[in-house]
Amino acid sequence: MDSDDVVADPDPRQSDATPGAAPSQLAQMRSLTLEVSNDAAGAEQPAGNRSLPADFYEAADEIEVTKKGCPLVGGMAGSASRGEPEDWKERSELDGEALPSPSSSGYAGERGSSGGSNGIEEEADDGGPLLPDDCRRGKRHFDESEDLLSSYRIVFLPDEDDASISWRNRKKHFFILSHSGKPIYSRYGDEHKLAGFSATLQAIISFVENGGDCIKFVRAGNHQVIFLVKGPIYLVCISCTEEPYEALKRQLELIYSQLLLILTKSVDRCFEKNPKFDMTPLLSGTDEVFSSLCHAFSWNPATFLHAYTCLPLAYSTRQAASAILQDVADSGVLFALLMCEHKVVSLSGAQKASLHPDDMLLLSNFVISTESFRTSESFSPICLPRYNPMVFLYVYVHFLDVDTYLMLLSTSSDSFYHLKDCRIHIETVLVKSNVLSEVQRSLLHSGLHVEDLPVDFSLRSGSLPHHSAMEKAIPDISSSHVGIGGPSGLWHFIYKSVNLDQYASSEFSSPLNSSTGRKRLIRAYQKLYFSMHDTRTGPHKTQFRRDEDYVIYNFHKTPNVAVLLCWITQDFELYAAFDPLAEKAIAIKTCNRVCQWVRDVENEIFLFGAAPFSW
Amino acid sequence: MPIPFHSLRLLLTALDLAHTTRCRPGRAKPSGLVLWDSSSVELGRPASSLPQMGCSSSLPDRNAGRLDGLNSENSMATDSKNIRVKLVLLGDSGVGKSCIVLRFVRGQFDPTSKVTVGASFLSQTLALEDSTIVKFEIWDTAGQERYASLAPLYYRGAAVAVVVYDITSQETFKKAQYWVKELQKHASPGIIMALVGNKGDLHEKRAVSSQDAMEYAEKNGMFFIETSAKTANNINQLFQEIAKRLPRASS
Repeated sequence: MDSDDVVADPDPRQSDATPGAAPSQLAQMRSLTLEVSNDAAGAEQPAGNRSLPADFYEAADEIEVTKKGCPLVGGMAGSASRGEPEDWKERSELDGEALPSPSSSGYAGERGSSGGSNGIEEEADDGGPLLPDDCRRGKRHFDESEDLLSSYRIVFLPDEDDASISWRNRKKHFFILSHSGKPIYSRYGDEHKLAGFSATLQAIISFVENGGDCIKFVRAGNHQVIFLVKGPIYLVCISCTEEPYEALKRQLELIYSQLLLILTKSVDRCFEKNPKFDMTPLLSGTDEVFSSLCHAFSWNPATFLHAYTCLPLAYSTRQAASAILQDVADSGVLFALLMCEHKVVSLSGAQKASLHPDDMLLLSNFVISTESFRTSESFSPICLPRYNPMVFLYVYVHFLDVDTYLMLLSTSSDSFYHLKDCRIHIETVLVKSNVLSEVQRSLLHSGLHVEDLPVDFSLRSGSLPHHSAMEKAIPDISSSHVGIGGPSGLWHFIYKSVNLDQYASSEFSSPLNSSTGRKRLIRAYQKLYFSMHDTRTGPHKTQFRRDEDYVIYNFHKTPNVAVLLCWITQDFELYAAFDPLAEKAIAIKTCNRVCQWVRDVENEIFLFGAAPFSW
Repeated sequence: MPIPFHSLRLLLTALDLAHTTRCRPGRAKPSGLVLWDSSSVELGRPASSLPQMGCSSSLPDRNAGRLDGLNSENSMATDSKNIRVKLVLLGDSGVGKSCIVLRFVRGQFDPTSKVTVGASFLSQTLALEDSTIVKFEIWDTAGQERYASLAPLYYRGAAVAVVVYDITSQETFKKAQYWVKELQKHASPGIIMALVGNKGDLHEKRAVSSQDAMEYAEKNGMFFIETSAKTANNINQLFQEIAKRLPRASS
């Protein structure tokens, strides 16, 4: 659990006074466009969420709205100016750098700090403010319960519920509940204690549903409440992380898919038989799976890129692994995956079977976060939601070493001994051909480092500076590159190959090596990704922005605003982060060099010849 | 006639995964390289009557002998000296099934509870006094409700079923009785069943009396023992008692 997900709001009154002071990234963003159609994700974007049906707000107007303080409502979350950026910046510093531990923020008696978070502000279609009447009506309602709760809560127990300050201070909540309002999962706190809260969420959703509509999100001060309805299962995210709506919705979709991976979609039938069906027993023991996925949202680009990443390996090594996996895939195994942590070493599928990157993400998350798989070889039913959400497949899991694991999937529940034999065969070959030791070596020493970006095309080597070269280079990086990594101020990049559904990213090095720095960068990329793929403003080709969202603190604790560059073509998407002083022309040049570099080493960082993906 | 414990040797099989799962490649002998003694004869028939979807039909010949999968009618393979036996552990979640297995197979106890997903497969060999070698192929099933419907996958064809409950919880004892009934209905008729009350070290919190459990076990023709995976008490005895009850090839 990332501890910095807790907001320590030292002065709740201040945030109460300026609840409209949500970040106004886009309005102040000095966004420069290169060859772009619409200006960077719509600085001129009309307020309002066009993806919502027009009649949505009519129905929603009837919801009891609650609000503390001034009801300033912009358009769609994060797409319009919301007032004083200074205030927001202050909060965002805390968000990352104050690193309050859950205990310090939660139990230190910061009562009332949830004030800013409990006002739910209705999202208005025209972008105009809510009527004060609405606010007061709602305020009364919420204040009463709030007062009651806070006056009786003096000691906060470690197991949180919706009345604990620490729980309210969490920056990003995820909930799963049933359409009858029964809690199924909550990222924080014991879901059983959140029955009342779940019922409230359910009431909001069903109220809108009764109007023949579907609620998508509600903006509440700094918070967004995102709803996702999947048949009898409701998913809700409450977040003050300022991630775009599309990003949070995508995260809810992944959580739902993770649930399907464990239970299949046929769990819906339980609700048909009994609407009050309690699903929590079915998910017992899977908390770790979901919390690990929630955590992945803040570090793993695969959660929004729709792509997977490979462990860098010499071409011949990966070929050796692929050959043996293909062997077993031809022998009746549906999919064979060899992975190291969350990176793919190789994979192979039966003819015509294709594996979606999302399924790979969820499957590897499931395996990595379940301790029992490490104890011994295991055989378990799982469902690949993108492959077929209705049926169980059977996965044989075996950890070949601490980091490397083999997953063999079959459609047959009887296949254990066959899969076990396949594993024995594969393991023998992998050991003989030294693949496993190469994998370990790559894990420790390989990867793309921005420092190694060839300065001149004539110098390019055509292969990764593996092994000995890298081993020598590593101490250098930590000692000499303390300030800014990489030539031309390049800090980091992600290169996604559109055709391969794979991405390669550079290793994090100074100044990005704090977990907060990484998380912020991932969020900035994520925002960039969704603004580039925004269907309303049209697909963009390039974007060059100085992003207030992504602030890196250097050693003098002065904030540096990273420069982000995104470049999308038919074949690839490149996301890069630069030093704040980077000039556009040089940055573009550097990006060209990155692309060239990636192409030069593509045999080592991408997996070729995997079964064709089609979906 | 109980066999004294000291006269028994515990052998870790080559298939034991203890050394491979935690080791980097190269340091340990890979578990996959040595197969179970091929001299043992399989009695199981390739008996899967379930419709096999898709890929199963294209299995290569080298695997044909193993097609019995999880569903062979009787997975006891035996000759005069070697007995291979499929054993399944059933019981509510959290009663300590995995702890019992890990104590037996690796001599370890990990107090941090790890939820089993699906089922784990482990094996352990026990050498008896009469120089019979019994190899247990153990299916450690998950206790979660969502896997209950999959239990037949693991107990069908098992020669031994160990039903575990937690002596500090009446509820888990009820669940154990459910499993016993289920096994009586659906498992192989000759299955050897053991009722195990685990967490014997917590006797001050006992909720299920030994007497009740013993009576229940007797009524259902089961063998009963109380164990503690934590202190290792009675763990080896459990498996020895099981081994003694296995039918031997008459020679």
